[in-house]
This record gives sequence, C-alpha cells and structure tokens, in this order.
Amino acid sequence: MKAQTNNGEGAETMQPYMSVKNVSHVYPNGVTAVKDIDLDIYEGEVVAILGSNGSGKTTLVKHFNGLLTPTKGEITVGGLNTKKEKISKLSSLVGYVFQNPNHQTFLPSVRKELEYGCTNLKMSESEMEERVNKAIELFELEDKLEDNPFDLNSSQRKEVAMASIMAVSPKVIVLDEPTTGQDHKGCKRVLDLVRMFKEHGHIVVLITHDMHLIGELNCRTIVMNQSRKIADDQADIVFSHKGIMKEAGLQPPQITSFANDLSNLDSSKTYLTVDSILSWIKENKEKKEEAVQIGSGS
Amino acid sequence: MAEQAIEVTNLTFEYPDTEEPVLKDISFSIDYGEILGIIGPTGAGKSTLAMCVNGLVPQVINGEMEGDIKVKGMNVHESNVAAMSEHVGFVFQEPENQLSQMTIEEEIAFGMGNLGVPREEMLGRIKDALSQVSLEGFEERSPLALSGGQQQRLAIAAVLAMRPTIMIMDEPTSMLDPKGKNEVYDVLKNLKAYGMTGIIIDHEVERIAAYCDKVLVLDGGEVQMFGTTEEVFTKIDRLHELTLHAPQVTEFLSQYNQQFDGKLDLATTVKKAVEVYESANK
Amino acid sequence: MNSLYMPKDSLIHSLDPRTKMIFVAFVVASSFIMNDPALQLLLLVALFPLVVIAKLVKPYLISIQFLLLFAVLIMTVHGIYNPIGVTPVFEIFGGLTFKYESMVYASVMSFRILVIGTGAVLFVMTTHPSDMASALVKWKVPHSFAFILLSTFQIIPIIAREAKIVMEAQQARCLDVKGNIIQRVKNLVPMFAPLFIITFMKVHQLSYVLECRAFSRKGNKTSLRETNIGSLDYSFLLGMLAVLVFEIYLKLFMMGSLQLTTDALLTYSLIGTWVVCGFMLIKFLFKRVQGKVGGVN
Ligand SMILES: Nc1ncnc2c1ncn2[C@@H]1O[C@H](COP(=O)(O)OP(=O)(O)OP(=O)(O)O)[C@@H](O)[C@H]1O
Ligand SMILES: Nc1ncnc2c1ncn2[C@@H]1O[C@H](COP(=O)(O)OP(=O)(O)OP(=O)(O)O)[C@@H](O)[C@H]1O
Ligand SMILES: [Mg+2]
Ligand SMILES: [Mg+2]
Repeated sequence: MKAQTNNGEGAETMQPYMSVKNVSHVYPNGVTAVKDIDLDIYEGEVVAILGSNGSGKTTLVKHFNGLLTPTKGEITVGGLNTKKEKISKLSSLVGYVFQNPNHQTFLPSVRKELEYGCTNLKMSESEMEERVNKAIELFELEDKLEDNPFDLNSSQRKEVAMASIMAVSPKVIVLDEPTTGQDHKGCKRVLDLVRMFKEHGHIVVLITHDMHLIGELNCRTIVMNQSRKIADDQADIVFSHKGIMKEAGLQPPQITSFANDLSNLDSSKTYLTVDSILSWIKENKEKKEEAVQIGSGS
Repeated sequence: MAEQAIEVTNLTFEYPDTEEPVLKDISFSIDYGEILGIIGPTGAGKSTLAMCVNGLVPQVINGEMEGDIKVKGMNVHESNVAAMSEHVGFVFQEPENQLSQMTIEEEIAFGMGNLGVPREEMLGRIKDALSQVSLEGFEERSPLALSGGQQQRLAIAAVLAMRPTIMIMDEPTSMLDPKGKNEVYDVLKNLKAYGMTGIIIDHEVERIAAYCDKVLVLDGGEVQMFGTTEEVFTKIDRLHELTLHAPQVTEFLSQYNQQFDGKLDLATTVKKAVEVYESANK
Repeated sequence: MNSLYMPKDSLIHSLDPRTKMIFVAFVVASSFIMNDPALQLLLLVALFPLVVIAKLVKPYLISIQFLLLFAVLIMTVHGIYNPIGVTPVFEIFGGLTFKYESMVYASVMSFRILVIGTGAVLFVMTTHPSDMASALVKWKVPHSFAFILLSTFQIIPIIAREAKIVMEAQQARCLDVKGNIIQRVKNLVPMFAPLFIITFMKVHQLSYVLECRAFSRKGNKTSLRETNIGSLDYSFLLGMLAVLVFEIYLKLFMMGSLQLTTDALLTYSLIGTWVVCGFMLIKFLFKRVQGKVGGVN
C-alpha cells in the first residue's frame, strides 16, 4: 500500500489542487527534515498527516503556503509554483493556523482582527464584508465582534485566530495539532469545525497526534516516518496495518484495540469509534433475531 | 494517619486580578508510591493547583492563599521553591517556554548544576535522561532547532535528570506521538517502583485510567470527584455533567448497557473490558 | 544566526573566559593610553592577527561594518565642525575645511570605537555564554548577576526565533513583508506588538522554570562545561603585560620625540574609511538590485 493514493472516483481525470513533487527540505543546520515526498491533494479532501515526533510533518506543511521553500523538488498550489510566489499571495489560497494565537493577535477588536487579512489583500469593501461575514457566521462570533481579543479566554482567542485566517476564505486550511491542550469539549469543537470546513468546500490538511480525532474523521491519512512518507490511505486501512503503525510509533484509538481483542466481531473490519461497534452489534443482533424468526416460522 | 507524600488541606487560592478564587477549599492526599491523575476542563485550575504543591504559587506567582500543603512532611510555605526543587520536579505545560540553554546537553545539565551534581555524574545522567525520552544523539543540537514534540521530550528529560522523588507533570504529553505518550507514563510507573510519587495532568483519560492509582476531577476550582481510578471513571453520568469523558472502553460498555439492556460491569482498561464483554457474550 | 557565539576550534576559543575578560580590559586600557591616532591605528592592525587566529575574519568584518559607519560619521562631522580645530588641512566642496586638531580628536575617538569594538567582538564571538557566567562565578561575582549577564546573551536567539514566528504568522495573514519603505514602516506594528507581548510572557514563564530548576538554591554549583586556566592563558597574560609596559613606556618617554600623526596619515585614514564605506554602499545597492531582478524572473 506504500505511496498509493486513494483519491476517490474520477481522480484520474481530475487535476490535483495541490501537488508536491519529489520535495526535500534541508534546514540550514544540515538536518534533512523532509525527503523525497510526492503528494497530490484534491478538491474536497480532508487529509490527516500522522507520524512520530520529528518525522517532518510541520516542515512539510510549512511548504504549502511558502513559509518554507523546498531545497529540492517543487510544489504547486492552485497552479502556482510556491518558489515563485510571495507568501502573502499563497496565503490567500492556503490558510495556515499557528498554534499560539499570541503570535498574531494585535488589533483592538475581534472585527478588526478578522478584517486584517482582507485589508492586506487590498480587497474591495463589499468583497471583504462578504468574506468576513462568512467567517463570523461559521465561528459564531456575532456577539464578540467589538470585544478586545485580549479580554477573551485562551480557547476563544484561539478560535478568533483561526477565524481570522478563514476570513480571507482560503481554499486550503492547514491545522497543525489543533487539539493540543484542549479539553474534551475543545476537541469536539475542532472535529465539528473540520467537518464544517469540508462542507463549505475547503480542503483541510490536519496534523495531529490525537487518534480519536482521526478515528472520528476516518479520512485520508498520510503517515510520515524519518522524513519520508510511508503510507497514504484511508485511516481504517492504515490503522489495520500493524507494520506501519509500529514503524511510525502510532497507536490506534483505544476502542480499536478493544475491538481487535474481541472474538465475535467481524474481524475483516477495523472499528474506529464506539458508535461503529455498537451499530455492528445492533445489526448483528437484528440479523440473529431474523434468523431465529425465520427458523421458528418454517 | 501516617505521613503522606502530599497532603493538601483546605486550600483556597485567588490571583490578584480575579474576582473569584480559582481554587476553592481543596483537600486531598496521596501516599508514597502513588500516581495521581488530575483531569478537568480548561480553566478548571489544574495548573494552579499543581503549582501550589511545589510552592511556585504563591511564592513566585503572587496571590492570596489559605490552607496547608505538606510535601514529605515539610510545610511548603516554610521552604522555598528552589529548595523544594531538590525533592519536587515540575514539568510545565508549554514546552517551548522551558528551554533556555544553547545546547540540549546544557539544558539538561542546568538543573543538575544548580543542585551541585559533580560533572562526571552529570554526563551519565544526561545519557540516561535522553534515552528515557528517546532523544539520543541530539546532545549538541540547539533546543530551538527541535520539533514541538522533541522540545517537550527535552523539557521532561531536564527535570528527570534532577532525580526528584516527587514528579509533577502538567500536560507533559500534549505534543507527543502515541509511543512517546506511553513512554512518559512508563517513566512515571518506573519511578513508582522506587517509591516515588507522581502527579500528572492530562486531557486524555485512557492513559490516566491505565496508569494512575487515584484521580482528582477539578472543575470551577472545586474538587468534584476524588478516588481510585475505578471509582471515578465508572461514574460516567457525573463525568458527562462536567463535560468530561470516561475512557472509550468504559463509554462503550455504558452505552452497550443502555442500548441492549445489558448489565455489564464498567471496566476502565482494554484488558478488563474485553474480559467483561466476552464473559457476557459467550 | 543562532547566537553571537561562534563555535570554532581555535587557540582563542580555548582560552579561559577570565583571560579573555582581562584581554578586553587590556584593550580598553590600551585604547586610552595610546590616545594618538597613529598609535591606535597600529593597535587596530595588531589586533587583526588575533581575529585571523580565531578564524573569525568574515563574521568580524560583517559586524565591524556597523562600527565603521559610526567612525565615518564621527570623522567627517567632527573633522569639519568641531570648534577646537584651527589649522586647516584640506578643503572639499569649497568652504568645508577639515582642521588638524579636530581631525586628531575625531580619529582618536573613532579609532577607539573600532579598537574596543574589535576586542569586544573577539570576546563575545569566542566565548560560550555559560562559560562566561561560570567564570564570573569563580571570581566570586554573585551568581544572580552572572546569570543576568548570561540570560541577556541567551535571550537574543530566543527573541530572534519568536520574531521569525510572528513574521510567519502575519505573512500567513497575507501581510506582504517585502513591500516598499512605507509598507515596511506600517508593518512594524503587526510585528512588534505581538513580539513584545510574547517576549514578556516568555521571560516570565522562563523565570518560573528556572526557579523550579533550583536556580536560586544556595550552596555549591557545578557546570557541565569545564574552564581551566592553563599554560596558554599564562603566556597570553604575560604577552599582554609586556605590551602594556611597552605602551606606558612609549607614552611616558617617547611621545615628545615621536611624531607619527601627520596630515597625510589623517587624510589617508579619513579617505580610507570613506572608500570602505563607499564599497559597502555599492555592495548593498548591488544586492538590492540583484534581489529585484531575481524576483522578477
Ligand atoms: N528550525 C529548525 N532548524 C533545524 N532543524 C529543525 C528545525 N525545526 C525542526 N527541525 C528538525 O527537523 C525534523 C523535523 O521537524 P518537524 O518540526 O517537521 O517535525 P514534526 O513531524 O512536526 O514533529 P512533532 O510531531 O514533534 O511536531 C526534526 O528532526 C527536527 O529536529
Ligand atoms: N497568572 C494568572 N493571573 C490571573 N489569572 C490566572 C493566572 N493564571 C491562570 N489564571 C486563571 O485561573 C484559572 C485557572 O487557570 P489554570 O491555568 O490553573 O487552568 P487549567 O485547568 O490548567 O486549564 P488548562 O487545561 O487550559 O491548562 C483560569 O480562569 C485562568 O484564566
Ligand atoms: Mg510539528
Ligand atoms: Mg493548565
């Protein structure tokens, strides 16, 4: 299954939106952080990137809006070569959310924070309003618009930071470990946001160590190990591949290990969520009952 | 009652710029060799509580505090943080704010140097600490040229090398890969074998359930639940009220009981849950 | 750039930090004893071999450029306008005359900046910050003072890194950091406002962390890095002493008979600094043009 892509139907004829060709990145101190990566990302996809600490995930995604440029190979985003475009231009196509909102927040109101990206792009007043309003609606920020971002609590500020990236309406949104340090509610919120972004037609690229999140999304999953891509497939298929999981220091969600240890489940399937096991049990019970009814009826 | 490793009685704390106390009348104790997991939603006061235990709050971070904290029988108020740090190791929440030295080996040596560990011994301890967090071979690298997870590993190693007998870790695995998370909990478990005591704050309850002896649930600055891991995680409804969750297997068993009128006991680890489920569905 | 310290394998690097601190004091003292442009120029030339031995020629030249800028400014402005001057030396652009006394004054001042700058660069670039701190502690300087000095050096790379992250974060919000000069001035707010807050928070956090790493604990402290005064240090110290004695001798007994500072020397050094600065300017402009051209392709 190495380096196989799972692009869904019609992928052969479809152009990838983002295309990474044979990319390597060597940091100035001589560390090779990304090596020979090939990757196509298509319209409408949610792509998760997993892998052990230091495997090159952050380095790879920082190439998508030009924060880093490949030391070998090239990347095209929406038809543009990242080596030749300004970061500000690429950022209108690829939104990159930084982990710490304090690195970017500086304006006195939430509304101004949201408008900042559009002003940088010198957008017309009406277009800006349209895009910003969309972000306000998406993040339900209507009643916080005049607040000072520094009066909000840390999770709200994080969301304002994310909203300010979404306000320029980039096609792709890159989230680097969005659930780090979040409580259960916060993780649930991230999951909902990812689904919402997808519904609104965005491509989502997601780095995470949170296996529950991947379990719930069951999306296309890329596994990195020692700077290289070692797997690219649907999450349940990746999670069922013991060799790759071990090599990359991954562990499926607890419920998956539980399901694997049960003797009477359908062993050809990989269960990633509590609900998926429950619904299998339900179906199975109904089938049994039917069988019993048929048996007693004849 | 015999002397406990950590004893907190009627602790109330308020930051200078908050209207309400962030910790309200907190009491609990843990014995030598026990590991306590602290869980709770964001802003519950988990970090503040942890910093009270080693005296950082209120000695360095100001505020108004009432109540008593005893660590290994010593009154924390009467000591100071630097003196306490011989006994209590503290890993902070944000890895990147904990690194100050120019190379990784110096980062680890810094705490030991302040404790007066001889140079020959330092070299051995650096090696040990690095292998405990799987960062061998990075000795000469600058801490700023590490990935987020590697920085978190380094922050843990720097405290481990000081060989504290009580280890407090505030979300030490938030940026680690699953294998690394297990390694950190394994380190705690190994320390426990030497009679050392640990406090770990985490949002992922599965590992807390598998490794900790006791769990304290904090919300709104108050202790909502305190007891053994089993006791706490089997009270699923109460956890849900607090917007928290039990481990996935416990959630599964509970929902199974609800949907199929089962009478399964709630287990909190994979192994026990499999036993429970299999014995009911032979 | 990671820090001011440049790890290299050289004789100067392996000197004890205390020796190097004495060396800096020696350079400062010399620059005041030899308050004559010609002798200072000599001193500057004499320091250069040490830079070569330390294998730091390139970084030295880069950092000394800025000081040179100062030197040019001082020499030109003082040379013309300082009121102590009476004897005209030469004239430019009709009316602006360089006077002998003011030129001497200006040269002494600007050469002193260069000499002390060279000494300081040699020290900072060849000395590991924590070595410096532990050397100070050995001199019974209070530990906390040594630490303040140490953290001043260590905070530089940390702030530099934070600044980079802030810049990246704002670029991710479509900020064009490579715009024209007005654009760049406007960008100062989105850059420095977050950087200020972040740095403030970081320094706070770091102080808690240090406390938990037993930083202010009383009692014996040890260090991973060993610093020892060896024979190399002693010979270096002896060398400095010899030079110092010679300088004082020169100053006390030879000054009258020796007249090195001539009009020609002053004029040449002034023109020399102009030429070097001119080169720097051309190089800078050339790079800008090249950048522009490269950006279009
Ligand atoms: N600024 C830097 N300079 C030099 N090397 C770096 C730098 N940042 C990261 N590295 C190195 O590059 C490699 C890849 O780092 P990267 O940050 O991409 O990892 P990651 O997969 O995002 O890890 P994590 O899960 O810990 O965030 C690591 O070995 C790391 O040490
Ligand atoms: N230095 C401070 N000054 C004033 N208020 C503070 C300070 N530190 C924390 N607080 C407030 O105290 C409350 C508890 O904070 P604390 O950091 O202990 O929560 P936590 O449970 O650790 O949350 P998280 O899961 O996000 O880490 C929060 O409302 C926070 O805003
Ligand atoms: Mg990363
Ligand atoms: Mg906390």
